[in-house]
Amino acid sequence: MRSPFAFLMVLSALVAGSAVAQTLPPLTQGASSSAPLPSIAAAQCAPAQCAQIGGFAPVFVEPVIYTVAGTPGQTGGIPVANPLNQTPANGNCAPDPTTGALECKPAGTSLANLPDGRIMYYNNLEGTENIEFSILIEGGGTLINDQSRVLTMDQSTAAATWTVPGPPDGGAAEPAQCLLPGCVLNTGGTATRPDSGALFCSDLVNLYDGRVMAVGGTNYFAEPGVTLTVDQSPFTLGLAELQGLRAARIFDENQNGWAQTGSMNYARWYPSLTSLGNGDVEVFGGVTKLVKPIYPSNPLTSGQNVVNTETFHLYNGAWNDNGAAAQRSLPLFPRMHLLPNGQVLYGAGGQAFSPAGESIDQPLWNIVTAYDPMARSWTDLAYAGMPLQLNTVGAGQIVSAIRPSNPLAALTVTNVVNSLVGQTLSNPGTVISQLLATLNLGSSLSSQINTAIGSGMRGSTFDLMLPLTPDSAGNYTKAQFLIAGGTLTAAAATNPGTVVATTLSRVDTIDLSSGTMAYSSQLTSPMDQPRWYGTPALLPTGKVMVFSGSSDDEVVIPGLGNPVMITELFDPNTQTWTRMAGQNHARTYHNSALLLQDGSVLVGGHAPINTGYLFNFQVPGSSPDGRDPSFEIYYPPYMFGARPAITAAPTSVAPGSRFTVSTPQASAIDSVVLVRRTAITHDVDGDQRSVVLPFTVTDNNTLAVAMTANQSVTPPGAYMLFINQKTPAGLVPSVSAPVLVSGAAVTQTADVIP
Amino acid sequence: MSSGMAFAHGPGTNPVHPVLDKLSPALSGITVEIAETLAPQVLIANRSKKVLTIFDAAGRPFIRIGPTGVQADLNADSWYKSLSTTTVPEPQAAKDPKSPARWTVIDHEQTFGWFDPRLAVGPHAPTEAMRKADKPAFTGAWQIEVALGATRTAITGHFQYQPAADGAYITYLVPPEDLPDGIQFIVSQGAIPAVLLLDPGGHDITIIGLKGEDEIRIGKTGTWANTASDTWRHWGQTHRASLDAGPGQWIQVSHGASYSWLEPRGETKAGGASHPDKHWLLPIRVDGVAYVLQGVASWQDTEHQAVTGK
Repeated sequence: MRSPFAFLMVLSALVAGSAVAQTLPPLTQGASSSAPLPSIAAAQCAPAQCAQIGGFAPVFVEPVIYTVAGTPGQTGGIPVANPLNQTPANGNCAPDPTTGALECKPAGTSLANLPDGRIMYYNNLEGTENIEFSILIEGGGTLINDQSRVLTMDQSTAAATWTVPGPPDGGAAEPAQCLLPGCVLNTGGTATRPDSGALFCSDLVNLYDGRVMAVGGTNYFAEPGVTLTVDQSPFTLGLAELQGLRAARIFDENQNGWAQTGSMNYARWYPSLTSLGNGDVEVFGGVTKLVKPIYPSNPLTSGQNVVNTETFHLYNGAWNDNGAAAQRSLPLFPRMHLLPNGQVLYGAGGQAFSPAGESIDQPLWNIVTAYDPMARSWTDLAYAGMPLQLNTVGAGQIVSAIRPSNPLAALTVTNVVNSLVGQTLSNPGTVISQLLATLNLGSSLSSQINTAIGSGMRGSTFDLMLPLTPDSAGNYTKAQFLIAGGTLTAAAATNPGTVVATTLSRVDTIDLSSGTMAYSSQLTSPMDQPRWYGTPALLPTGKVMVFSGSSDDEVVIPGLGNPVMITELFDPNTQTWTRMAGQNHARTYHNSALLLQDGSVLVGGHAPINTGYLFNFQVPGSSPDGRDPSFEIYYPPYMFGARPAITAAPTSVAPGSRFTVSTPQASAIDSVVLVRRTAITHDVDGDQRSVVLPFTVTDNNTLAVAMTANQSVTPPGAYMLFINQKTPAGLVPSVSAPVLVSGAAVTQTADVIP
Repeated sequence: MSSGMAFAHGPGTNPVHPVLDKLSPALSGITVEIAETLAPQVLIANRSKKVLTIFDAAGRPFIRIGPTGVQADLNADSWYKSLSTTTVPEPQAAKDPKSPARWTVIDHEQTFGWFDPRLAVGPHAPTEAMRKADKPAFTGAWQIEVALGATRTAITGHFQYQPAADGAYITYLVPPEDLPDGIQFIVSQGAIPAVLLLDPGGHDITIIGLKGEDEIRIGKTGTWANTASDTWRHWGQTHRASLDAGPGQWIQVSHGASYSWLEPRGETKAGGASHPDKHWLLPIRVDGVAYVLQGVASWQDTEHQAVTGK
């Protein structure tokens, strides 16, 4: 019987021909390549512009495409070229001369800032370029383990150098948990090119000593699936399953290599990590099987994400299940942060698969809650966004949402809502709808109002902790979080959210001063652009840049959203967003950004799902298909003028100690800030923090700085120390000094489960 | 990947769904779930010490789930039909219904799932009258013969037509007027909503379960759950096996005096043209005094739920 793909084989033979196979060097540990690194002098902005909106230097990209030596046969994809497949001819991919499969440069979708300033990064969704017809039915047999790289950016030589770690894919492999017969395993993998231990969908964290731990990941297979043969080449078709991994692997920059550490008790895909004050690491959420989360061994919990939390202990490299009361249903990649009181906050942000519904217990994802690692239990704090400290911005949003057509009613609405400005409303929808009851504006007014203020869980948003600032006694008693963009939760019974990105932005506050965790929320001015998966970077000055993203949820409708190219800056003092420079490349799903040592921001990533869940093709004007392995550096306005300088600083500081910083601008320094080095993927960096340290000026060249003794404020690990100078144009930061915060890491704690 | 596109985390778009009846008492220790992905699947966990035998439509046993694992009759045609939603190759012996059984261990777990043709929804499409009525409707029944040990019984259910919803129920709670000040109940919407209780006043509050039992206690020292409460065991947010500390035991589930939980009394099912308000009651005690909150679920059309940040 002739293959159903036979006609396409003929067609593809007619249009193929033009692809010239090139010899690709083998992907081996230590292999390296270099390319010119564009400097600030190449920033694409006029001088006056640069000082206002900053500028991007041109993109730079790894110059080499590697292949895995000795890869036999096909990589699992359909051995029939689809002539409609439009993998961009941009030099980022090339056909392997042996297998014919496309080899591509990895994209910087997951980044870690190493203690010496190099960047370790890894790819996501490796192999999508080899999908011929539909990622849904070929993904299990075509997607493979993701490659990692170490990027060195040397401004002194104007060179960027990429080095291949060993093993390049992190070296994990796990058996699949097949629940259905007809499961076709490891269909795309070979001994040298496996698909059962992808780094994709792991979270990563900088450990206390500068190593990087990646936790979880993906095992690709088809369940159910069938193996077919065309022209004696076997391939697999079936519903792709993306199973989470138990694996935890550690990258050691000194060894330029990965090693396995203890595995989790539960396999997780899209989990989140947060370091504790003693350096141990908590893992939250994730799902064991993405596509078919059905667990016959636990039928009641089918459809749920993993509710168990676990702790990674540095002293023995093992994970402990935290027990029954520590369980919590959370969205995928839940946005978590360690609070100064040692508890871990879930701010009701994460990734949900809007709008089809996900889990029976997803209403719980709207609740802001905190996990206590000592008590191993959670405390619920609030419904996200409420109580609302109503300001003029919030009042305007609410009035706009109500919009009565009757002018008299409109005036009444405006007056009533504005009269509440300055008050804290425990449930603004209920309060305002009661006050407007005589206007008979409909039974849904309350939920309309709460939707207008963006209450509830925010999907695919960022949740960034603003700088932790000490009170007059030097204690850190307040934490604030900026939540902007993403998709809103819908006020519908079965629906976790909408698919259109929002401009809504709010600041949530956790006040710890009374010994409790008092939550409140406040609306800021909206962003200029609606932005799904915008990635933030907290600058040393306390302002926040946001990069990349899309107008729509590109998991629901991949390749059909509009990329957001304009960056924006949030000023926490004015609570406003300002348009900044435009970036070079469109980066929608799996984009990234990271503050560099000199105060610039590295922007990278983009590894989308194939357009329409099919294959590579470009819808004009929409999000580009095909991964983007390039990076670009954003230079904020403060980098285009005179800056303060740190001439001496300690390389490590202990909790509770005092240390000195030398700077010729001592008398003009406004603040001293420790910024934790970033480890980010999917808008998740559970350790993201910037800590303002109290200081005094001891002479014209010296600052005496007080390091907090509270390790929940500064967990042990690698930081960048900045000083900010007061200028008429605002704060201007120095280039940072690398600092390792020592602490209570590697101390044995009780593992007894209550 | 997307749930809608990849069938993840939720049912597809077919308006007919197989629904499971209450299990026979003879199936003590057996848990059955119907999951819908590419097609409906039967998922079974056997926690009893007996072997559960699954029979095909012709009465031939083809799967056994027991304490030592799962066995399949590799000479049974129905075994191959259960492997996939599409036709898969099968040996000649399986095509002969008189072939002797060839039982083989295929899994060492006590759980298994398969596609069962008896759950196929295709033959049970709604009639035109049902579609016009736009209301949930019964479209057929299904039955899978099983035996637990020597006891023959069946897993049964029906097919239900569920018209697509054009809106959703929004649920809220009305507290009694004499409820002590400061106690706040916030409903988080869902097919089964969650309720968040906030009480800065530190009262001792008890949530009463579906059968009138004490389910959750919230007070100054934290939150406790009654593991003997069926309501908790089925709907407690953390209803994994590890929480089953044994009947009659209260376990601390939070050290905070605020708590959120799934509230099955507020369950709503969308579908049909008529969407009357639904009323339910949430009984509680505050410092020993009984109160009842009125739950109301009101339908809102989709166009009234528009959300935008622009």
